[in-house]
Amino acid sequence: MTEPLLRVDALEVEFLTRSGRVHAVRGISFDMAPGQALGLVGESGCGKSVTSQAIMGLVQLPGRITAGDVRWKGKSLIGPEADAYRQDVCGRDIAMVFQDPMTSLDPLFTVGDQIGEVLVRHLGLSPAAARIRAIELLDRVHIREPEKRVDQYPHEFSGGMRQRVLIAMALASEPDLLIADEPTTALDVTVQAGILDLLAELQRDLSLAVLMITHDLGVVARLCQDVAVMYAGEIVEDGPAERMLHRPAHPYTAGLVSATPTLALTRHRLRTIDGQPPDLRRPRGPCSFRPRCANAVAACAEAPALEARSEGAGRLACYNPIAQKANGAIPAADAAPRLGREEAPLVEVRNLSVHYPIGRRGLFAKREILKAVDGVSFDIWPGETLGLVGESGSGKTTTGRAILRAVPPTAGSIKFDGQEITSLGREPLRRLRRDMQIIFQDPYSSLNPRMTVQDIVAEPLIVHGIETNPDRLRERVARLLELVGLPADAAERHPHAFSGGQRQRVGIARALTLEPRFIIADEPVSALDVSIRAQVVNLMQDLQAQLGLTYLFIAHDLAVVRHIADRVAIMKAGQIIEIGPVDEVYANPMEDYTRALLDAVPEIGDPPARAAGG
Amino acid sequence: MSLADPDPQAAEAASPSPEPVVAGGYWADLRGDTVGMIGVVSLGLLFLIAIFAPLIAPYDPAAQNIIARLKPPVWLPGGSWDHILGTDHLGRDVLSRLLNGSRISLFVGFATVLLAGSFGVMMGLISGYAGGKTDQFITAVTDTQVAFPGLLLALLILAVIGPSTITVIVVLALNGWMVYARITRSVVLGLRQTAFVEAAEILGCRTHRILIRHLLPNLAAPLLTIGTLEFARIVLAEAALSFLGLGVQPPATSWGLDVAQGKDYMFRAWWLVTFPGLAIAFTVLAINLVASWLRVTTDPVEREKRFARRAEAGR
Repeated sequence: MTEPLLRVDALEVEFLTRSGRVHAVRGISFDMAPGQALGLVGESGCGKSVTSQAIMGLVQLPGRITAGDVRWKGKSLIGPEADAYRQDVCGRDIAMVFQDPMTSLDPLFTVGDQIGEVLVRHLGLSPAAARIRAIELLDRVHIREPEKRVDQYPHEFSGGMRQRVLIAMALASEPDLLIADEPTTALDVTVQAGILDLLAELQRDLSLAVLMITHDLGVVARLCQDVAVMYAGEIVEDGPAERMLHRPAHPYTAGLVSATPTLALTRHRLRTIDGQPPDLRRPRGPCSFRPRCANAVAACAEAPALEARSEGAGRLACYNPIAQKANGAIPAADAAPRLGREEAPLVEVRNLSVHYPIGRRGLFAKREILKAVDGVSFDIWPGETLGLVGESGSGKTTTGRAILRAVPPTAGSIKFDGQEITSLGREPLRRLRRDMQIIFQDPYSSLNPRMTVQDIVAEPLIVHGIETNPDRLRERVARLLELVGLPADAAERHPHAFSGGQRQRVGIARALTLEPRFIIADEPVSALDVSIRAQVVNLMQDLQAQLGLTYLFIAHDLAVVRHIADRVAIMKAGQIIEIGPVDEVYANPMEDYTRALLDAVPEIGDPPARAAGG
Repeated sequence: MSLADPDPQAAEAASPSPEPVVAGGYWADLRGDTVGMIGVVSLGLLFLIAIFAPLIAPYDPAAQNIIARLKPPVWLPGGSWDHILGTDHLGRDVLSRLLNGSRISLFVGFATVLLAGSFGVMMGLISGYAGGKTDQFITAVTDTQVAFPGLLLALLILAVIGPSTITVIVVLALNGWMVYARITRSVVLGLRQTAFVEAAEILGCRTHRILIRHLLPNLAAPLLTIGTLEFARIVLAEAALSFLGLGVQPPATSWGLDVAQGKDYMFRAWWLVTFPGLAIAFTVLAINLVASWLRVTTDPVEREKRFARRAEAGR
């Protein structure tokens, strides 16, 4: 075999922190051939992004490369003696696309100038030639009217368009390898599908190698021929995508695959990977997945090496791999729809509108109004879960906030348990809050960093004057923490001592403190890793069964909604365009938009785009 | 519904990730930082001196001795160990005045920061959290006050009420609260959007609880830094006012007053202005060292970077 395009050889990266040395990347090795699309998959903190930074020479203090090598076409990119070569290669032969298209472009320059800068610097083009080439590149990434768009500023582009501009910038230097670090994570699902198709097309037409860094197995299935799965700074398994996604051998890969919700199945418990990722401060010892592994054997006390599989392509680091294909899901005990329609609805929303004035153009012009929510009506029956799905800007979050009266509704009526709540004064509203609570999207910002878990969970009882005795408060908090599966000693700690999934459990405990009947869950799992997401979804289902809760589950992720909701409402531009039982809507969508949303969801079953394109 | 019996399924969550082994608290951090340490030790020393000044000082700072007037410091011809830093035009011991002067200087600084800080933070909290008309009004008042020449205001008030230590503190606080109000407002504007504040509102917390329990603790880091820097500015401002004769009045002493009284003898007895001037410079320097150390230490990202830089350098 000839020298590969890129060789990462026993690379180690560590971070010096005040709490100890974090071994973020622990000796990973892989090769990339010209034109290959490799997916580097793992959960947050597994070292996948750090690996890409190491390739690009972007590792900065407190991080540093301590061992190993990155070779580009046979020459090393690591170390001071490779500085000149690295500056030559990185940014020109290896280009990168980042996650956040909103902040990666300079708002003060036109997109033409920003693409042109790359052309002038790396290819030595004249400014006039650079402009012509920039227009070609914008056309290449399918931006319409490139002659006009080239002179516009980043704020005139939508999120998906900006990501296309960034890809055009990356292509400007005619690279051999494109590193894409979660390029679609911040985008809506329909936009994401377009970007993935574009990347697949570029890879095919320009025989561009693509290193796709992502946590989403669906994205990998749509784009990559090969997949490497990282766990705790190591590659645990790699190989062809088809095999990795359908016949995973490593228990962790299998766990990831089965914890990823699919559109195909409804209302069942997601399979989870129990426990938490290991502490990366500990040096290498036993297999890092052993504490979470159901297949662990005695030999696992010593870390297995990543070796070529006995049969088929790819490598595997496991002493006791999974033999058969992983079963996607366990059917739920109560698969029957629980639609108690004999009762009155718990929440009745009629013609709800929330409008915001957004200033006026010109002194005498009419004030323009943003119709965030525009005449929405629905009911939620006791004990059911209504999924509210929409893309960003569809008004789904505002609808939830309006029901909580956290934003004032402009028009319409909201009845909770038969009582009209849009006109409630301050004190009755405070009492109402005891029956309605919310779980937030971001488990990091929704907990006050300066308060202990005890104070956070007990606060509702204190502010409502329900319980002030410190001993009884402690008792109640302990019971709540047990209910959401947190250890008793969690109460005395601050939120920073917990992982994302555990913080979300604290958030759920806080929402449950007042024993509400109705909980609005605003994207409660979208900030969580796949394996943790499954744990939290299961917890929410268990709590619902146990406490008779009613949920409004707001999400952009159709697959998760399918798992938890009884009925689903699809929102677009402030209106509900379709509402009905989950099975009906998913199997037989009435609206084109719903069908487009469903088609755009990247799924593990999807064939790689290259195969589809020939 | 009952919260009594835990769900066995939910108990699947593992124990929390280990508590970060923070390598000691602020003190350990300080021990590794020579410059910050110098600042903290100097400032501590200054406060000790201020507290014990009457015990350390060899003479009563107000005691005059016309026979021994304008004596130079001990190392100059004509100097003696009786008056280590010499005497002033009334024969008062310069060292004793310096030691006692630190009391007023530091007290004025401390009290002013406290007064201006509490008022400014309160205004900033209300302005940032309430928004709308209230915010516009408070912001307008702040801007007007910033635009108004501070010295003119100080002169006006002091001329009407008459100068004393307390009025100096009030006047300096009146001129200094805007910084706190602006910083607090801008931080609160950011915090108001965060989910934990929204969570507190939805839980049914009343406004005062949100301000005090949720917003104020998260303001600690920037305010600590601003307060320290302001402290240095106030020490200088008090000196300036006293120099103009509008600050501390004799027989009380302060460094600014000493500089003012010594200025007429600048060419005959340079030590009268030099030592109090050096004391002011030393104090301000110490405070600034502490402030810059605090700024990094209270910013988790900067703190990690500094730690890594040191660890890298120490290898």
